[in-house]
Amino acid sequence: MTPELQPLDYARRMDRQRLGWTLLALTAMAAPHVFNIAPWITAVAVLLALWRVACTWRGWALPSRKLLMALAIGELVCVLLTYRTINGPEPGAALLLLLATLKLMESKGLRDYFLVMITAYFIGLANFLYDQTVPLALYMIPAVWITTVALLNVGHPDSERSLRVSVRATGRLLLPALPLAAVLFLLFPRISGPLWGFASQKHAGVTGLSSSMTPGDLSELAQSDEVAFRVKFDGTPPPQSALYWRAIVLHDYDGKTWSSGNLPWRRQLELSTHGQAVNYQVTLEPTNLSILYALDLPSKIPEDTGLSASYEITTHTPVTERKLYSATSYTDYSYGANMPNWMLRRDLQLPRDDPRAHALAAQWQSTAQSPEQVVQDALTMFHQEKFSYTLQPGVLSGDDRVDQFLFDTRRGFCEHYAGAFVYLMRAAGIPAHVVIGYQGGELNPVDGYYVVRQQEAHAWAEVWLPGKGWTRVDPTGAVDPARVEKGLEASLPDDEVADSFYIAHPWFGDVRNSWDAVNTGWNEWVLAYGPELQEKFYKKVGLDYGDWLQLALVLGLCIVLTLGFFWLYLLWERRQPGAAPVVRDYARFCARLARIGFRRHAHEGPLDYGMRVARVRPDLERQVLDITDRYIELRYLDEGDRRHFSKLVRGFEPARSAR
Amino acid sequence: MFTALRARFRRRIREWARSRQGPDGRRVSIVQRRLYILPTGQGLLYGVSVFVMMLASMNYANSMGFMLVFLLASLGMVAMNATHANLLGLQIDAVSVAPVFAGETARFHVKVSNAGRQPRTGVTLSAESDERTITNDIPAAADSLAPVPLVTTRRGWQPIGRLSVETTYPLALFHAWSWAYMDWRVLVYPAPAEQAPPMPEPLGGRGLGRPNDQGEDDFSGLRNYQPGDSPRRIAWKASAKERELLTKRFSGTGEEARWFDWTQLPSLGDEARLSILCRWVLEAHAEDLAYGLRLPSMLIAPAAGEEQRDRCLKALALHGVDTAMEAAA
Repeated sequence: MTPELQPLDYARRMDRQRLGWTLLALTAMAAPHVFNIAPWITAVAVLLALWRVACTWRGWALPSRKLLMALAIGELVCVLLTYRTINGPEPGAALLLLLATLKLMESKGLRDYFLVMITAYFIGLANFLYDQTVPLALYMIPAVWITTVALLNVGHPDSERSLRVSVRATGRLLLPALPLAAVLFLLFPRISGPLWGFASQKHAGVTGLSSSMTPGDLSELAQSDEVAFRVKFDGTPPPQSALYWRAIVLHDYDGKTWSSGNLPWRRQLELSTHGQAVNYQVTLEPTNLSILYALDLPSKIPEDTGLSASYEITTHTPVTERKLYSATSYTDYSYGANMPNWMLRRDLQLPRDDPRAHALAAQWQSTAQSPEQVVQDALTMFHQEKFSYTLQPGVLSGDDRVDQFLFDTRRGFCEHYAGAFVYLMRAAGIPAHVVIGYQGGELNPVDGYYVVRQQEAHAWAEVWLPGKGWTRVDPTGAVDPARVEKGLEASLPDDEVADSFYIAHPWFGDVRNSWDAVNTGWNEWVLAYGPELQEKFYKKVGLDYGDWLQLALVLGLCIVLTLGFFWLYLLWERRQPGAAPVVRDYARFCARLARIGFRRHAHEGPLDYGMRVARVRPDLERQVLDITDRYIELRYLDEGDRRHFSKLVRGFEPARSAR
Repeated sequence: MFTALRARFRRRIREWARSRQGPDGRRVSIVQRRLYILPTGQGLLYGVSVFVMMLASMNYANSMGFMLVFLLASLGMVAMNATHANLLGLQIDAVSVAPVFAGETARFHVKVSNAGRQPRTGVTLSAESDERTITNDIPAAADSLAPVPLVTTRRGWQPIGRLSVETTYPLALFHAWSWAYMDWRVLVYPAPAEQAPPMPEPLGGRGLGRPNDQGEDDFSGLRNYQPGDSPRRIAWKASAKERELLTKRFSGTGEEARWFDWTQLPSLGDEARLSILCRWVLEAHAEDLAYGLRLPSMLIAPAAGEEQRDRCLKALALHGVDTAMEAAA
């Protein structure tokens, strides 16, 4: 008997189904945006959604086209007023969300709802413009799944389909889609660089170094435990005290701020190094600077970067994405012994605002026999007099800040010491400049990476000594050697340590290390995967990066293979299943009866057959009818215990004649 | 202009498919070579959107964006396979179709069998010349019976024409379909006339006007109730005893027989005549009267009951219909 199925009653419940699922998808995809977009946008979207829900559940009429147009224009104006632009992730996401909810207000059929669903995917994509971290990626997995379930239910609304069925049905689609997506991710050619103009906006809030230094900048950074970059050394890492990460060299001082000024062009500089070269890879977080960080002092720099006269590694475009590069450095060096006077003059300029500092420098200059002696005098002063190293140096103001610091407050952070030291050197006629970067780094034992955080931002000095060239001098080390030997946390008073929490709870530090290892892997293998890594990957698997035909063939083959496997699986699923075990067992039962002379006729149902046997052989009646009843239950009512039935049949061995 | 072009294009496709597939019997298995698939409007929109998302990911060099884009693209491709497989391997059987009167909707009962272990969701059936569709879910290893509607227009044989089996499940991005040109048709009776002269009296002409008066005495026995029997003829007492409905039969139909004669309606067109005759047949049947039918090409002896009615209606339906077609039936 074939059951007559009623045609699905789409018309009645369709709208509720579609609306409900579309709203769910929108919510899943838009939820992370709530933290980024202006609150009024979320509020308006929620209100519109509630209105739409009321329309369906209360039977209200949908708003008119005119009203919707007015609302759309109003929303656009409000977004413009809020963000001053419609370019960029925040206003873009806001507009998408508002348009999606507005479209919902006039949605009636499949097409309308489908459009909203597509917008939901766009909104989901926009999440990644702010944030590509592991937690968001983990969140997006169920979110994409839910959205796909919604897509299925929007296309085929059926109030009788259980949630489990649609979740499984979409799971069956997403599961084979994952390896295919992975293949595309690895092989699909990436084109680098922005296609249109507003790609850089999102990094407005990057914390990190800037190309100038005003006392107070770095001590602010010292509060942040955000990761600045990660380093993996080939071979033995240098000692902690040699981990100076050179970023920017500051030449110009205006009485308040040190700045890099214009970089002079690169000249062939003399470089003398001692000791072993150190090779390492850096994963740099976005900085918005056209500078790469390297261990002091880089000798071999990545391709397509330049080296300034002050050994800064420069790039053509600001680093707005996480960047992976290798470099080689020597930690024991001096450079620029052959620097001409006109270039050195730049590092002697001073505003004449700090008379006491000038006087002190003049005194050193007159007594010392060599510039080295002057440097030593200055370091001795920092070491022996009551200077203290602190994050809370107090406020310096006015024109003679160096004087105030050197002779009055005597409390400062690395930037104060570096600045004052360079000032004194210049006043004593020794070319000097400030170098900013990072000092230190924390080894993550989980993956062997050194993590350098913003709090390790540091400033030191370089002085030019005749016959030797530029040499690093770190006045902070003279004040507080622990800063350089052991790191910031050891050198600051306990109540000033940014992450004293981790010190108080060491196990938490372990958790942080593991989490950081996860992030490192994620950054290096997933997020940094761009044209450069792709080229490497191509080489590794033996493909030619420039050969488009070959690439198209390989990519096509991968897609066909993956889809082909899925296809075979589908075919396997659709093949005629073999006889069910119950049917097989019953056939065995019939065969045994046939052996004793009761062949089942083609027209005979199981019950008739059993009765016939029972009539002739009353001794078998109980067994035969028992098996027959159980068979009917299993086969037609889908009730009963299949294994027990199987056992019964196997135990059934009828004798040829009645005893 | 555009619609004309599209209609022409569709006709060409139809002809191409038909000549490619050839005619079908009463059972059709949906195999690969007769299964077609194209993206739907939504599918095209989806494709364009994924492409735009890819451009956005490129613009921001956003790895996670790429990941989502590639996942969605893969999802689309997998959904294409799934939609195709949703129909593949189904078996379509022509089961039955009951005759209808012209203008009514015939229901072609199609059995859709799914031998595989996955249910087939959202399988839609429709006849080519009827916009109405029937959508069924077919459980794994099971059949379902779908009454495919076809509105009838004129009497005679009306073939089902092209039967479409379609689906857009699961994501409505692709539309897979299969066409069956089954050798299957429905008998369409003429529409009964809305207004008709009264039935002709029996030839015996005893002048007893009311039908239920006559023959009360000539009770000849009982037979099983059949739909259409007049309630007045049901033997209620006997029915109660036998626990099934019984209808009284009457003898002497020979004398009471009336003839519904083509020539009795001389001033009308053929179709109008047939409509009136049809109405008379139905009225007489409702009263359980005996009647005969005389057409120019055929003579049906007087009788009563279901069989007589069906025989007469069929004769009316096929009056003047091409005999070659009749032979083909």
